Amino acid sequence: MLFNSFTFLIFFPVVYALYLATQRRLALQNAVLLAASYVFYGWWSLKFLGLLLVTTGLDWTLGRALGRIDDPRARKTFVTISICMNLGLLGFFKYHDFFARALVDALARVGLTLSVPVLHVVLPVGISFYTFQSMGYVIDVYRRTSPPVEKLFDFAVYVAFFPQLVAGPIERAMHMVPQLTRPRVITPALVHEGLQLMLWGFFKKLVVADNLARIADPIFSAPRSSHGVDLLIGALAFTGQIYGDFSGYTDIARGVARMLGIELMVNFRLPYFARNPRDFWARWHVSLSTWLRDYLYVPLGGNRRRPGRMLVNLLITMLLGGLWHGAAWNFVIWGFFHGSWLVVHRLATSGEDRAPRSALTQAGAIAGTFALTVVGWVIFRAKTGADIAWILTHWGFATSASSSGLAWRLFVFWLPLVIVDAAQAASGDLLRLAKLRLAPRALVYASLFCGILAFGSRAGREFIYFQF
Amino acid sequence: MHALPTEIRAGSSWRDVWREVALTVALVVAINALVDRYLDIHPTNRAKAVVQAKWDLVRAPPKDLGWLVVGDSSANQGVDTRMLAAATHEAAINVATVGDFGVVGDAWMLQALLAAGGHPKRIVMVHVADVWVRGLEVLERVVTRLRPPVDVARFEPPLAWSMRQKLHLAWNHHFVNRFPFYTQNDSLTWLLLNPGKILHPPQVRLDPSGFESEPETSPELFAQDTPNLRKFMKGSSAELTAHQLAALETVARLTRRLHATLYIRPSPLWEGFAGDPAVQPFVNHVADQLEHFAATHASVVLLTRDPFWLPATQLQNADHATEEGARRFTQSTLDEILHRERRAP
Repeated sequence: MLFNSFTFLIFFPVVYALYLATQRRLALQNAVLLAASYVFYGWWSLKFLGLLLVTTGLDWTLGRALGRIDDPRARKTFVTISICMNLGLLGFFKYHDFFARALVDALARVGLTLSVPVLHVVLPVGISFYTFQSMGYVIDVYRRTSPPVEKLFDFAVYVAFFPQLVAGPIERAMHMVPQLTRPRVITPALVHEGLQLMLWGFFKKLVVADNLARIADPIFSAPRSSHGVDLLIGALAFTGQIYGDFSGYTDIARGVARMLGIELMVNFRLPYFARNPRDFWARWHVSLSTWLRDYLYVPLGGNRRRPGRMLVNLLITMLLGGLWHGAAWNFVIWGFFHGSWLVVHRLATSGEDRAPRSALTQAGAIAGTFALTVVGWVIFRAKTGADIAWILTHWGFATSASSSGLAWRLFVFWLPLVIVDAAQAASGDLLRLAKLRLAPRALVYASLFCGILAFGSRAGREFIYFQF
Repeated sequence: MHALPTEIRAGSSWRDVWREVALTVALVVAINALVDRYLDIHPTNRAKAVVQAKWDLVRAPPKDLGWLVVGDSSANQGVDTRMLAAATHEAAINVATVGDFGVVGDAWMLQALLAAGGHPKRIVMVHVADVWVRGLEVLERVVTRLRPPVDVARFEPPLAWSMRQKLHLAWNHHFVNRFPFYTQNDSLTWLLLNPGKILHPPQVRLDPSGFESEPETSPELFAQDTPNLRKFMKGSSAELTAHQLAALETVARLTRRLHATLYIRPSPLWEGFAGDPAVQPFVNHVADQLEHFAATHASVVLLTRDPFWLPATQLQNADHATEEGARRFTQSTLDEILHRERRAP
């Protein structure tokens, strides 16, 4: 089920009414949440709901076993089973065909013929998110940083919680499970913030992202038909689209969760105001970057090894982070690009982030980081290496007959993002809108609502991160 | 590392929440009302502007109405009422709108005109062949868009709406259409992307008597439209739909009561379709049915069986005539009618 669907408009009020009606009975309220989550997921595919149940059951069993035994070898065996099972599922559904093709191509280059079946496996929605969340829990229990969840029921709600099930944020058990096992109080502040997050999230998705997609899609589907400023506009449109789309989804998810009295982690902290690549990754898809840091980069040795090894660790982490986004070479190249950028930054700054001295150098740092981020998004979005090369070597300032129209459209749909993000950046407050005085605040909300009605896409476009 | 932005939480009371929601809703309603008013005065949607202007015409018809032109957009752009009026020194109005209203729309307008005291001597009905076979679902799309809203339920013929359609119509009529931000999103998007036009909105070239003149051809529109129409006619049944036929009965009955004559004339059409095996059988079958209808109704005359073939240089798309094409079509229609009237006992 999509947030931006008519079905969800009916689904959520019904679920919310049942949720409020069961406010005094926690177990019943969690049952409502679990049932709603399975309906939400099963709406897309009942078949793959089974996969979610398998992951849930196995990781809960392993987590409980880890909580009861002290033998290090047995503990290691259990955590290895969980990692193998989760990565095995992910590997099969997400990467089988990719690696099969890559192997056949690589062997063909050295004159060997190999027949590996390409299975055309359908990727279960959200598998990258819920396997990481579930696997992260087992690793936490193994490390004894999180206690095992006693009830399968509670764990099932943690894994399947519908607002964040299919596109995150990737939650940690130690943050979320306690919220599920104690009675929740729905305060006016939570409802207020939840509504605001949902409204801004829907606006970012339906108005900003989906309209910018109308600029980016034709340019990226046939980049050789465009040149100069049109390619630049296409790249900037996708830069806004992916941010509006993913942060919009996150805001809706966090808003819905907050209405239910549950806090989800902040996943975006104004990433286009980052001053360097390290700063960017502290702001973009925070739940993934911190997951990769805690469960991949740190176990690889992190910063504790000699500098050369540390840089290799960084590169490996980003490469795999790129691959997490999808089974395609451009994601690998994108990961490599960001990894290399982080390595260069670390070498240049000795790992210390000093705040730029003047406003001008700060602005320069933000602009430079933004420009390289746009290059990264070109790699991310383009279909082939040749397309990437074409766009990066042919963009510029030469105009065409359609340039002014495209530029105006780009400006119009980027503008709300710029205004709101700038206000949030200036105040350092991601809930800046909610702090406006009543009249201007209501005017902003009414404008956002009218904007969604008038300019929001009605095509029910999927969120980009559903495919990851 | 410098401080990252974060969520600074603030307290709130239920009273604050309700005040905020109430004020937001009130502002949404107010903004909608303003936009609604603006778009009524300056419609950017051509079809909406045409339909609105035509309904204004039937609500205040001229006296001594010699000619009433009804039909679809091919009639709106094809029958020059100024030529009709000049030929007979009688008033002429063109209240043809768009194809989706079909003959049902013609019947409604005629009834509205009669209710406003109009008394036409001749009714000229012009439709493209494919309009005669359009279903109720097409009408459903446009019927609630009439501004100001028209209670079409009081008009004949009664329509066999399904329960789903009835609910949909009621929902649109009473609720959705009050929100131009939702229903007129294309117009608003167009204004957003063309902000310079907000103060100087585009005008439809509509004569006070209702004829819309189009001086230019549009090769792009023509190239887009002709294959679509051809494809439709090739793949669709040419049987007149029950509600179009019922509406034609209503128009014929009212015409008889007025002691007037209903002249049915197939629309202008691109000459490249003449003899086309995908188009001609469709056109012929529609003509057969209209011919049979005319033969069984004394007040009804089918002027010609074939469309009025025009070259691409006199068309805006497959069936919309330019000024020059409209002149030729009107003259031909006028000649046919006057010739018949002169011959009549």
